[in-house]
Amino acid sequence: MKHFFCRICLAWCVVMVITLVVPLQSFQLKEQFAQGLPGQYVVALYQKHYILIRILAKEQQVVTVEELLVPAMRRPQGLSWQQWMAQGAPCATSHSLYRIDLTHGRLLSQEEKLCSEMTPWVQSFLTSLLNMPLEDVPVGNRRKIARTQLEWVPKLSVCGHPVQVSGFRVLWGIWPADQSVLAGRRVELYVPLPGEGYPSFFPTWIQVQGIDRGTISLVDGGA
Amino acid sequence: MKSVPELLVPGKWRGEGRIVVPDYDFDIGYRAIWRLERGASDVLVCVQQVFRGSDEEPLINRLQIEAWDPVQDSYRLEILVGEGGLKLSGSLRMEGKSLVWKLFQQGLPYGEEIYTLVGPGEYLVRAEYGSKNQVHSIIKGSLIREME
Repeated sequence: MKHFFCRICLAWCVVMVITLVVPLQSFQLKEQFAQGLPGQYVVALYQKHYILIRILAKEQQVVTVEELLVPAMRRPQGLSWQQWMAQGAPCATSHSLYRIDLTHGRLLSQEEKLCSEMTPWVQSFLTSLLNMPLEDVPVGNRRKIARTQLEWVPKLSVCGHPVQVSGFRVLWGIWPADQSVLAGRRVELYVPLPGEGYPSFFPTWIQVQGIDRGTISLVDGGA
Repeated sequence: MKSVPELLVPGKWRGEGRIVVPDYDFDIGYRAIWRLERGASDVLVCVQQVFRGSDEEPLINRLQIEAWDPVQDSYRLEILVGEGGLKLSGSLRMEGKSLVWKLFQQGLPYGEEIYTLVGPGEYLVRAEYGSKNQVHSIIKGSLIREME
């Protein structure tokens, strides 16, 4: 009987040590962003604007990124995003370049080549997004298609064609206190698992809870 | 005495149709088997097996439909979607040839299912669901009584 209680106490001590010493599995998006390659781009739709983010260069942990904004109504029809960029991004209302230190997730420099009334998305949100501690969403808490209990996953397109993604990592976190409207709000992200034929450096789908138009979803990508 | 809609007569039904998620341009087919039995205290028990897409194992929903309430002019129902899953409650009401199910999750509107009688033992199914935490979906299909 004495040995039994000793074992129970030992097991309890082991559990407590594991709980206190082993940190929670946390993830930061800058780790995923660091896997992006020069030339890869993603296009998101946000507040009736297309936002194109392209990796221009990468040296060690410093990445140069360009961001182009074009109102959804003014995007020239019949052009792929690659053709649009090759033609000098006609009708773009904003064009900015950024150098980002991915070790610390901070903006090193910024150059605005073309300004618009709408603040560039990268300037406003990207560094907070890159540094936000994220955790995996438990399977039971993941977004489901109503009444079917099927787990929902976003779609991903490359050069206008739907692609089969090898899976998504579903993460959530609390937006840091950066004095933006998003501060303190829960954020949910679907990050594609690395695979062939599609860029995975940026989440395919982001939703900030509790605000209007709090969803940003990718509509295309490529390299 | 109110006549009982055919859909609420104990027996076996087979259904099929499509589940559409309009916001994300997604849809898959489904097949369903319903078994309705009379339970204790005039309660009707329905076990729904739903095969979504190429599912080999069905999603099992359990429904309890209480006796017709003459004051509310409706049937009260409770649904457990999946094993230990989503709990819904609501009511069934006759509207012409249609049986309209209004569903709630924790008191908040969750969706509506409309079963329209198109012939003996044959219903058209149209349903629409959505809540704060779940993605809006539409179901279009049919349900046919299986002769036993």
